[in-house]
Amino acid sequence: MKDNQAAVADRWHTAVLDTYPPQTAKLWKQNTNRFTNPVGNSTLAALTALVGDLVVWDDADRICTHLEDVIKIRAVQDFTPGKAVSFVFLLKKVIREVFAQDISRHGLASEVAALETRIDNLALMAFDIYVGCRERIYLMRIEEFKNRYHMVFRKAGITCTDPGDILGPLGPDGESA
Amino acid sequence: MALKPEELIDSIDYHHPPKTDWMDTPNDFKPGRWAYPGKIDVIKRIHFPNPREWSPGDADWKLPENWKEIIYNGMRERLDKYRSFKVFMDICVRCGACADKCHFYIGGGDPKNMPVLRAELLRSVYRNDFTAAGKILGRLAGARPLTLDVIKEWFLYFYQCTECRRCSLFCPYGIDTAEVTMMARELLHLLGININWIMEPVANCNRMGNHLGIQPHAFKDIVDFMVDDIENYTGVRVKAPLNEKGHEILFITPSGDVFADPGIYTFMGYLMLFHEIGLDYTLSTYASEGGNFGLFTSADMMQKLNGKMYHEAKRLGAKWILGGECGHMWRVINQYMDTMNGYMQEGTNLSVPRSPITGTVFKNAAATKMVHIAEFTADLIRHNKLKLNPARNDHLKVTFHDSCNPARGMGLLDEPRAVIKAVCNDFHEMPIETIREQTFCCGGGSGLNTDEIMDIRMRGGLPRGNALKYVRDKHGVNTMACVCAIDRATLIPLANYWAPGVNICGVHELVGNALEMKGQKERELNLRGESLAELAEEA
Repeated sequence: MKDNQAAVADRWHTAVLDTYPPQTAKLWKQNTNRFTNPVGNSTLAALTALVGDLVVWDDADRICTHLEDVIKIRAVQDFTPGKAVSFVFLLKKVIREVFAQDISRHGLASEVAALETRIDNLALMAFDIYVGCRERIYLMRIEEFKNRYHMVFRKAGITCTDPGDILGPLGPDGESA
Repeated sequence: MALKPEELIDSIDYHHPPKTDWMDTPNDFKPGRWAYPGKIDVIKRIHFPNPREWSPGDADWKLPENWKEIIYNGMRERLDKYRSFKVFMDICVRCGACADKCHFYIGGGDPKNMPVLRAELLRSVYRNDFTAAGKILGRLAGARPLTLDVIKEWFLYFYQCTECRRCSLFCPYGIDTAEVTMMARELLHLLGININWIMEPVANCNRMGNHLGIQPHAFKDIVDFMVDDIENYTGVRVKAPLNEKGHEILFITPSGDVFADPGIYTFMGYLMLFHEIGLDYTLSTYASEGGNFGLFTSADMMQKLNGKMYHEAKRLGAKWILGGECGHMWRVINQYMDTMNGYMQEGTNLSVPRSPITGTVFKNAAATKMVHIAEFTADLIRHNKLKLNPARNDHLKVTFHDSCNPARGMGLLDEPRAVIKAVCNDFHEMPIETIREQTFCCGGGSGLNTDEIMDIRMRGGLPRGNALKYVRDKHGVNTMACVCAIDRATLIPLANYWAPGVNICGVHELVGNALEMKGQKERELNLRGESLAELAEEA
């Protein structure tokens, strides 16, 4: 893995882009400008970093940052939740493809199992991040509504700058007293 | 028979999209992929066709029985009326230059959001029924018959175009895809297919003058809140003249600036500026909406709403009209107003705008008599007519989002930048591929700034968000300024999602904060009521 990170990342990138329509996958693979092709390039950068993370496996925050770079995009695209995070599992397929010969020749089944456990962990982290992205979207919808009618609410006298006005003073555990 | 290991690996398939030709790819109408349809009472109020209860998620859209005939007649009428529409239908050679230029395509990857293919949704029907080649060769010539599925597909995709015209910039033939979208939406309106987010503001502007339908007395109360706030923050009581006759200038801004956070802080900036230079102006409640959602319905409705500006200028006796920070308002003014309503200037006091402070004559506004406030303020600054203290904005690292319509629709590129640089000390441009003429849309223009399609907006906003994140990470940018009321609303979730930590403001909010006012007290708070000392400390 250590010596083949770029090859794994590239294969993984291709597999992930293949979850998009064929003409899109082609365009996003070709255009290397990160500003006119943000999905293709952000995805490649994040997947490359994740392959490195998988080898080192020492910093959950960093891994989550890289996962989020991909999931954030897929969470607002036309994917079901499962399809949005499926890209993590594609890595299992990629690894078995890239290292097929090494695995059978050197009998690396247990190493593969260990690696795949890390990938399963990635998938769980991905699920949490996906849900976090969706929650943020819902909060943004509520905030936008409040912003839009800000002055109308003020005119109607129904704004609340301090939740304590309504809930009473908050206790030490954040619960309303 | 057991599969070999390689075959087993090949059989792992988490998700592959359809490989069918676009004409055969079915459309998904699950919630979140469309905006809510117009309410019956709203549609009735503005006399648009076929008011009814319906939902795009239903199989039956309750269209008139002769829907096909209505569309054919509507297309024929528009092909005869607008030479441009006919040219845009005929001239495309499908070179693909526009294919990857649309923010919705760049962010989402749905091929039907390639501008060429989106236009093809309409063109295929045009070919089928209005060209000889299409009639004879059918699908071979890119033609397809008009069916209910085609109508539904138009609704999905022509409401995933923000009419931003970025694709047009790259078209070798100069096809204005925004106008293709306008035609498609006009045709859909003939059948009663519309979205409430556009129709209700249209009905409200038509009747009350502003997009929320706030009555004049409440409008005045809300403006007075801001006058009070300005006094609290600066110690200066400014005037906000409303519906007063006999002033030199009529000022019209999007009503979002009056109602919505953070547009209100930009509005306060206007009031402070006008007070400080002693501008002889009035606001109006009748023409209190600079934006024109009529543009997203039909040419007739756009004309009617736009006519309020000249109508009010005449009633109040204004000599010229100053316009606020808005986006599509300026597409309407710069490209259609003179043609549609220029005749209404007859019998008014309107003349070529001249700044009463600097003497500059705005010859570019000779036809419409309307000047964009960024031009007006840039001119004041250029002539050293304002006393500014940019240090009051020193906690901000600012970038500027070119709003699509002022940038591509009127070439307003350098004036807002000149203003920002005069009132802020720390300004950083986003990458060149994403600003000025090539600017990326906020994803919510053309009446798509409603929250039920937040996912669509977020993928449309991805290219802008990506560029914003870049300058946030590289330069520590924490503020994105813009000159558009829709942007001031839509860029907030966009930044929140793609580049958390970046705030959104109007250019004149920055002006208001930097402006030194005669008789002001020690300025401890900014226009948002935040402590300047604390902000400086946090920075």
